[in-house]
Amino acid sequence: MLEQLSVNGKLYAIPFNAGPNVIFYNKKLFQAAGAPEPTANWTVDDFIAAAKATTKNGVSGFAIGQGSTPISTFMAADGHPYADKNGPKLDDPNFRNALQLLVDLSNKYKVAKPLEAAAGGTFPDIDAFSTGQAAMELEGLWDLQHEQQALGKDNVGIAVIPSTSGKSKGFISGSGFGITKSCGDKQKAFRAIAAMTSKSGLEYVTKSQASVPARLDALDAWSANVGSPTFTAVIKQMTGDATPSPVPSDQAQLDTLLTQYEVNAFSGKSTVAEVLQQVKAGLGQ
Amino acid sequence: MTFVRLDRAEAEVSSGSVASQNRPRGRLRRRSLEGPRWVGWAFVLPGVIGLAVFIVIPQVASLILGFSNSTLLGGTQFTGTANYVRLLHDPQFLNSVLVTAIFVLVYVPANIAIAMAMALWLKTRIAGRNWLRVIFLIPALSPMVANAAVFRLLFQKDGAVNQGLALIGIGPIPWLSDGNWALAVVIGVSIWQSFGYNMIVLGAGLDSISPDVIAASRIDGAGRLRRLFSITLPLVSPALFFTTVLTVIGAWQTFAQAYVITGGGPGNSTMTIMLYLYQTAFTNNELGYASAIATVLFVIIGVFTLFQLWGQRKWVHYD
Repeated sequence: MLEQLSVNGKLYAIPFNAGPNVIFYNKKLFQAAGAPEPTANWTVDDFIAAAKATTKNGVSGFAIGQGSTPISTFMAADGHPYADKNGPKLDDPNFRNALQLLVDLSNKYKVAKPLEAAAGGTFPDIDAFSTGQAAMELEGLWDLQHEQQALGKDNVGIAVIPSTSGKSKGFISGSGFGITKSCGDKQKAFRAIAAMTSKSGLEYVTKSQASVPARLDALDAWSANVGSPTFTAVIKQMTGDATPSPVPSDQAQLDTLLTQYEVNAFSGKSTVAEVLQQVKAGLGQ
Repeated sequence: MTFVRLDRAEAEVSSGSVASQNRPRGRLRRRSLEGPRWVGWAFVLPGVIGLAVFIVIPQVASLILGFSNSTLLGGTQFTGTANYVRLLHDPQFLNSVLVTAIFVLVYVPANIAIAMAMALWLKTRIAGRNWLRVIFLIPALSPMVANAAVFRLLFQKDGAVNQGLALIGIGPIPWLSDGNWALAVVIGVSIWQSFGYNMIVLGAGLDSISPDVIAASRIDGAGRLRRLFSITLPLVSPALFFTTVLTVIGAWQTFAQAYVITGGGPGNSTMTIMLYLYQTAFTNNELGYASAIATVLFVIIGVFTLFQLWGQRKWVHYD
């Protein structure tokens, strides 16, 4: 996390919340399908089996998100960072495999709806999960409160990201606070940030907000106030052993281009490799 | 709605042909036009300030930015015509011009034809025609972003449109996953959204045609088609010209429909010039390059509009 908030080795912001991406699952739909709930060491095969079991009666087993998030998260689960200092690793076979997995979930295993053209900044996957049309989604924990409100607090489970090996690593997309050059009173701003990112400050925030505190020592307060002790185990695994990756400076462009072009992989117009080449051309790499 | 050619109207006013016969010419009229010059300026000043602050200054700033490599994060260097050279070799930009040109070519004629047909239909004495006018105008009044969310649900792979088509044995059609179909959806939604406005303007044009002229043509033995093409269309041509000019300008600037329905995809099949401009400025942070695109779009629209103004003398009748 500290690395994500740094540029050229210099730290520019202090971490505030750590939003590890997890699998959300709908407990009722799992029970109705007789599918076993995910474990801490489930594999991609287990995940596909669960998705197959819950795909019925118009419900999809999984809802695929647009853009780079599902790709980078599945890559991270196996310990592969999706980007390095030169930008996103579009030529990395692991990148290709992650996108191929998403396409296969739709086209080969038929457990998810294919991605279609959609505006950036819309989340058909979240909509599908929160309305009970999909049994699983991959999302940041920031979405927990919203899903609990939509589906009932006891109906939303979270699980680690499935990996090929069964030893899943986390992918963190959190945020932090920095001070701008033009800030009027830098000392005051620093004291405010110090208070917000202190143990007691983060513990206080967990009372009203679902975001996961960036400090491990404030996690117990989070699980007591927002989540449940069973959630804490997932969060500890996802944050304790995360795959570090820099955030490329053209991240927004990467997400836009992936959202546009990956549709062609789902429709069969292009192969996954071709899609990644088109994205690469768009980025001017 | 009446359409008046300003130059002619002015000539008629000054030659006195329009002025009331009984009014004592000169005194009354002249007094109202006299007074210190600044009074006139005082009346137009609010408008001029608004025009300068919100239109002229940003336009000029954008024109200047087009010759720089300015970014959203700051730092501006003037790079001469580099942006324009890059535009000529930028496949994404050339694609967006092609996509927008196809959009204009299909959308404008279809929009005007449908609006004209509906206006003619509503001119007949059908029951509830005023209600129908309001109903057809509703799409133009509803926000595009909300419409787009509904259309995405309708057109998705297992959406209502494909379910309906399946009942008659068609499909499923890949509306939002095939480039050509996606562009068709964007064009279709755009027409649905905006034909109502043109219908109202053309309808007003039709209403202003004197019934005597139609009656005279009937007596002369003109059939339905003959009346439509030789009497109605020429008499409504000022309204047709007005709607065409505005529709063409709007078509080149298409943004919202593509932005909210398809995001420019699949691939770049629905990437209009405006959408590419937006992405360049606010996703890629290249303000200078985006400004150059804006200038080119401005020139394209200017050329098309001037061409139409020049061409109107061939088919637009003001009397």
